[in-house]
Amino acid sequence: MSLIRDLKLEIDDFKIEIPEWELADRGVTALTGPSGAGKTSIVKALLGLTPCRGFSWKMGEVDLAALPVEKRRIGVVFQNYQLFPHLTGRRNILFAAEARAVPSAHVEEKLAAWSKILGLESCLDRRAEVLSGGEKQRVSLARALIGRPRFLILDEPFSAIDADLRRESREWVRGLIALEGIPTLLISHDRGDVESLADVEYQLRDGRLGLVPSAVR
Amino acid sequence: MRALLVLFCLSPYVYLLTQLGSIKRIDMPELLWALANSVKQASLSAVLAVAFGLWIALGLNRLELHRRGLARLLKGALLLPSILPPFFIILTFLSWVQPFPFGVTGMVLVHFPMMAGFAALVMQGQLNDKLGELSLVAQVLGAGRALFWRRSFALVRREFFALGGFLFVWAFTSFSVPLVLGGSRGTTLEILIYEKIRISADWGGALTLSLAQSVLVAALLLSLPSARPHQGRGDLAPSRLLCSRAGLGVGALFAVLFTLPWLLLSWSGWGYLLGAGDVATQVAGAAWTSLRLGALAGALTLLFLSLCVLGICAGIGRAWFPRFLRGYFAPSTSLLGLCGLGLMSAAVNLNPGHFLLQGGREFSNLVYALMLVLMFAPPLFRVGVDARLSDLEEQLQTARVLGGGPWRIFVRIALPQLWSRLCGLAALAAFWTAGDFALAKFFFDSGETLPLMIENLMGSYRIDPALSLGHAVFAIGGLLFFAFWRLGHVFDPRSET
Repeated sequence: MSLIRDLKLEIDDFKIEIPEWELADRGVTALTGPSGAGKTSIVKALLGLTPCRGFSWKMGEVDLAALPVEKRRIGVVFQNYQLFPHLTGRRNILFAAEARAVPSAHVEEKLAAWSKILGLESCLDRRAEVLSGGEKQRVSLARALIGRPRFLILDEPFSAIDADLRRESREWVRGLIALEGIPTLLISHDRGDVESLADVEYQLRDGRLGLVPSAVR
Repeated sequence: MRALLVLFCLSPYVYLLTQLGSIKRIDMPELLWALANSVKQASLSAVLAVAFGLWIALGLNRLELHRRGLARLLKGALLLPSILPPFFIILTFLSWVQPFPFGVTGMVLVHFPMMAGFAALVMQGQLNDKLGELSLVAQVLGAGRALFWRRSFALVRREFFALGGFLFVWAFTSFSVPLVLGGSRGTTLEILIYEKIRISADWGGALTLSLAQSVLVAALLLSLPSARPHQGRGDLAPSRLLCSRAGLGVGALFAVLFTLPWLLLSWSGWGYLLGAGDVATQVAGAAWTSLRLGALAGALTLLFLSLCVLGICAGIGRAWFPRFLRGYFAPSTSLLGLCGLGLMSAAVNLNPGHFLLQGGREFSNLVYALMLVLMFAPPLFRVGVDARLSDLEEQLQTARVLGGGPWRIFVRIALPQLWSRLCGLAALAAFWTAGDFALAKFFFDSGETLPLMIENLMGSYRIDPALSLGHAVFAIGGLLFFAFWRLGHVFDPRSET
């Protein structure tokens, strides 16, 4: 279990206060809430992209909040995937692997395994800017996981793809997360995403976080 | 590294501060006379540039309604006087207007058309952004042009003042035009500083004037109103209330005025240049020097801009460095000349005032090129790199979240996507260097580079040979431009698979 304490954010005249938040060591924790509730601001704070003093995120002995962004070892899939458009799918994935000094044998092994689950073959040798939304999502997920992250954040990962593909995507995302066993925070406002993926749901409303009991699996 | 880059940018000012001991009492009547000339020519030039710029902007709108392709061509032609080295424009006027009115009038006559095309393009964007939608509504409501302008001018007044202020500073710190066209009656502050250094070897006087000028320019820049944020409505076709047929005529006239003399090849000029054997040899030597200096300044600009990008990659999430680069205004030509000479003379242990007389020129090429980087790189960064870097910001942040260090992010993410752009900007710097005679006047003897030869010829009113040499400068600048531009395709991101 990891524990977040005293996360306070001020966005214009709007405040978010999370005195304490427990995130499970396994499975998927969902953070839901209406648009504009501040979900993405929380993601940015957790990643270290928004300055946020005084909060801690203890994972075992390590306080992730005290580490610089690149040392936190968090995998992330952004809403618009943020692939590097000039690089191929493979190079996008290798960027994260090289940045975290992952041995190449491990990378090849993982790529081979994930290719079966995600159907990555068609994306690896094409530049990211020409990939479809679904392909981008798969590359982005592989890139987030290849660096052996401590924690995975999925920020509205299905919002940019159509409904049919979304159902299919949820299946392989769930499969991959279960296979890798990495604790995951899913940010979404879509009930379908939450119901098919999440083990625990927290809702953000008026700057406060609350557990949604009915959603606990 | 970011601190070193900032120090390099601020080095002329730091140098000034280290020389405070040499400051001497200002000759007030002389200072006030030069200041009055500077202010007169700069304010008249700025007012006329804004007025004509507005008129031409309305003309461009009219042309865009009917012929978009032609409008793009006209925009390019109008921007040329602001982009080309100043001697191209000076020569144009010297060939059209005879006898030329040297002095404040002459400076205004050249400065305002030089800036009007740039002003027109900026104002067209601002007009369409701030008033485009309103003009359509006003037209539907049946408003006439006078009523529309009376009621809506307040919405763009601040932007026009900001632009006018910027143009004032541009003309105020201009060196090339006052040097050639100012004459003895129109000496500006910039020229006075130059004369103190190169003619009367009065180092202390030059330092004092430079300090006074830097304080004035800083005060001017700080007092400029900032333009309001972009409203993103510039893509609407403007109504006829924001169009002018006469403005189109003025724009076309400006474009013809600047391009025509350069299209008329001056055979008599080449005859003069090639006729005398020693002149031809001198031209060849000067051409080689110009080519070398252009290549050096282009390479250093490329290095400086790349280091700036590396600095930004190293400080993702920390805004002070990009903010500094955005807000930094290049020092004036005379200050750069002063600083460059000071650095060189310090290196060879000579009194700055006597440095040139002693012939100590070991570092002149390098120092000259470095001073040109300080002059060219900040505006190039603002125009060419800043917006693209903002587009890349999310990618840089993502790379950092994924664990990328500054060097990896720079080499893998930023540089491949910016390389061709950086090379394009270096190509511009090389082209400008090939045509620079203003800063070169501080570092080289007359006739050592092609632009300095042109300046000599202009000074003695031999316009035809000067125009012919102008073509040679254009050829050398074009060659350098092409070389750097091609370099930009060596790391073409499309080859990254």
